[in-house]
Amino acid sequence: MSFLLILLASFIFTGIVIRTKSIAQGRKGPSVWQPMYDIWKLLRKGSVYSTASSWIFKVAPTFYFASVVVACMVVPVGDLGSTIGFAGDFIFFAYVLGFGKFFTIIGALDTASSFEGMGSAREALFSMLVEPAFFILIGSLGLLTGYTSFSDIFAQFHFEGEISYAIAAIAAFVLLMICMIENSRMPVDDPKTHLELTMIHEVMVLDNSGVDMAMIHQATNMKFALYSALIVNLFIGAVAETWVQVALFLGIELLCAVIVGIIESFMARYRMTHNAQFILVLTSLALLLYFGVK
Amino acid sequence: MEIISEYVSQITNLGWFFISLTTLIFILSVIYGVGYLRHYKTTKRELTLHWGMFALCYVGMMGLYSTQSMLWFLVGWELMALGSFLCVIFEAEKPVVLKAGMNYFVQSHIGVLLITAAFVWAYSVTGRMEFNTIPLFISTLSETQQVVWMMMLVGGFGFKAGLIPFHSWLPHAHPAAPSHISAAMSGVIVKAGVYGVVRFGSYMTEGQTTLGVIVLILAVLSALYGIVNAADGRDFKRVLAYCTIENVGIIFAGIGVAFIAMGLGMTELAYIGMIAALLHTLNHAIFKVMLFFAAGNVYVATHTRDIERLGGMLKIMPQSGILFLIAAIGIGGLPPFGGFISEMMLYGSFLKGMTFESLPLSILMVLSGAALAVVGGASMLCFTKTFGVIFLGVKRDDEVKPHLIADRYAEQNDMTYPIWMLLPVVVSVVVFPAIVCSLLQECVGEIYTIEMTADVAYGISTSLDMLQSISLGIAILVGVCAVLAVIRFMLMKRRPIAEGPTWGCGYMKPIQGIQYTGQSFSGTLAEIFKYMLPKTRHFEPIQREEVFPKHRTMLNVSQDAIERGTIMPLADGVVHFLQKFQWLMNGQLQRYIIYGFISVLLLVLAAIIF
Repeated sequence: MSFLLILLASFIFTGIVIRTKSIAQGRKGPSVWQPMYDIWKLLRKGSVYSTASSWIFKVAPTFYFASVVVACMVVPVGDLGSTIGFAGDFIFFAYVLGFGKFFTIIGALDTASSFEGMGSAREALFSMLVEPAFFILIGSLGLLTGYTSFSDIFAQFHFEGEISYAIAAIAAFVLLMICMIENSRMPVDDPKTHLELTMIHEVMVLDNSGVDMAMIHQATNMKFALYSALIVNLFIGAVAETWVQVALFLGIELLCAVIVGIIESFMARYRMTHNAQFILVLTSLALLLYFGVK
Repeated sequence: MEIISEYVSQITNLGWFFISLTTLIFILSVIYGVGYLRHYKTTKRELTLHWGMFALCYVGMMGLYSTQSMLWFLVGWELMALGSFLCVIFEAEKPVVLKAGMNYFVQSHIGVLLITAAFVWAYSVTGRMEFNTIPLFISTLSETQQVVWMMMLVGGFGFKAGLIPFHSWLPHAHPAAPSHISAAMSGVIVKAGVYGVVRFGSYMTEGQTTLGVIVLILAVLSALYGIVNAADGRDFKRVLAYCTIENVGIIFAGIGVAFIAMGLGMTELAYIGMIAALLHTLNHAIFKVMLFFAAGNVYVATHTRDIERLGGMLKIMPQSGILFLIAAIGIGGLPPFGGFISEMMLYGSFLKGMTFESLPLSILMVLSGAALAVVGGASMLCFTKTFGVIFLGVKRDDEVKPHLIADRYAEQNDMTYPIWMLLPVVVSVVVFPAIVCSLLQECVGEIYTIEMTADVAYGISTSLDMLQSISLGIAILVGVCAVLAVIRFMLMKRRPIAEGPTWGCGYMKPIQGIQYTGQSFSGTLAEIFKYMLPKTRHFEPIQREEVFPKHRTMLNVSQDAIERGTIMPLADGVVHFLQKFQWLMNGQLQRYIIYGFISVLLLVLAAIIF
């Protein structure tokens, strides 16, 4: 169930981000379903492959998409349990996404293009720097609640008294930033500046087309919904009724999308060389959480 | 001292584990090595010596794993060191190979010295050499003395295992040795150090926490240092050597956690830490051997170890490519292979360790966990780079001409079958992790006489059952991948497919040189960790007067930071000191005869006086 909810949220997430940005710029903007139309269009197209590339390039988008799908299965939504869940599943979550990233990176290297190599190098570096923040963050939540799986952590979280609200606020911020980094969005990277050597993720997919491209786009949408779902879980544990939880889920997902849109509209991109410092700040924030918990 | 007793040969479960692993890897190395050495110009005599020494090394290892006597342990250890040294210097006519071999030989003997000293200490107290007298010896020691005794052993075994700062022989020896020797060294010979620490650590009765903290810190630093150096590397066998240092770090991290937990009386966690360490030993052995074999195939076909000259090898060496990919994913600890399971267990033990009462220990656990997360990320960077640059894209240097042998690029059956043969092991670790781990639990349980209550046993068995759910998660991942691949295939069937050049953003003549290189791939990482990666740049800057700059070359030499900081000044100091005695050796025969005469005289005098 929660998998379907996340999937549903992913359909409109990017649409809302784009819409928010358009409104912030004083435009009307495309429909929120536009990203879905684009994916539908791509699904019906053929493909062009580079002569330099091998089968790795062809399987990479599939594996990337699969990894995001499986990661979605690990995340619960409130009382609706996750499809896969066990003690320590958040590490599984991070490593499954890592598996997908591994393939996007080598897929990009397979095209023998300088742009894509550059993008993949950055992707590898930034996701390496994000890892400790994620581990310390969820590890601290685990320390607070005494459990190590997403479902148990989130179910237990709101029983911990007032401190849990303070923690939820910091955790939500860190998770939102991790989400922006993982999706290569604004403070770290600008998805709209193709070919200005600023982009991480967008440039890695320059050579993909057709069905592969559709899968990559949908994977990005789902990743957004996925991290937002983690944020949602920090807040909805205290609500008893399932339908309220679902409503809150959709509401907070919407809110996250709007926030992402606002960040994208009103923030400038950092210099690439400063990104590493920015990401390490997240780690120290997560450490702060740990000390708060301990 | 009885030299021969019933303790000479008694095999523990732990011994069996290492014996089986060693035997498997050695057999495969022999099969592979025969194919590999066919590409060298060798004489029969050289081959005989080489394989003889390989066998000697094997005998030594069997000896040290199966004995319960310190004396025979040392004999086995020495045979292993000697045999592997002579195997490494197969191409002894190359100065760099000989130098690397000597480096290994000397450093491994400093390690032997430490181990022997620790053993002699025990012997001096009890007068016996059997392992079962060690508890007697331990009971006479204070807590600090126990830690010191064990640290001597950790140091000694650390030289073999490649723990920093005792690792500096590894990045020289691995590239110098033939690939099957590198594989055996990295896969199992290095693991003898792990065996030693696990085996002798079991005798400690006090001070395990202190020891554990030291081991854990060394281990985490090794892992970080190893992987950062590996990620920046350019010579692919050197990359694999540094990656060994990283993985030894991960293994020792498990051992460190186990020691800390033992000191605190948390038996369950102690078991989990040890099992994680042993499972990672197994995983690393398998994947590293696969990597070295596959890399050896590339080397034989192209005669270069410089990744910047390679590219696109997947198309001409499909089997080596896919095997390298599998091993790279596995060793990076990514699902769906076994490396993930052992790393997951280690994360699990760090998470449990965060609940320690003492704040410093808890912080240590958090930071180690975070460091392991960085290591995981850096390992992904390292292996996407290594695989991507060697096997993907197009060839970067036209002078590299892979040569055909019997219509294949160095992929004769005897050079690919040994790698394929490891796949069943890989799969069984992923499919039956609980069974594998309960076997490993017996290895640990036999020698660590920790009290096993019903609670602890229950705790361990639930943790092992949890592994089975990880394995289920992995199965779902593989299933989803397969389903999506089929859907994609069905969708693509009716679509028009075209081929064209890579999109060069409007630039119509992309050439091979335009590709991203390995050095630029890891460039930013190298900048962040520049203190670990000292580089000397040989370049003459362009002068203002030079209107027409002349032809220039630029050379970046990277060195091992720790080697440059500690080993080399030390070695220079020793050489400098010894040079003061140079006047003794002036090459005159008469002088030497006098020396002989004087020493005989002194001996006779000594005999008379004492």
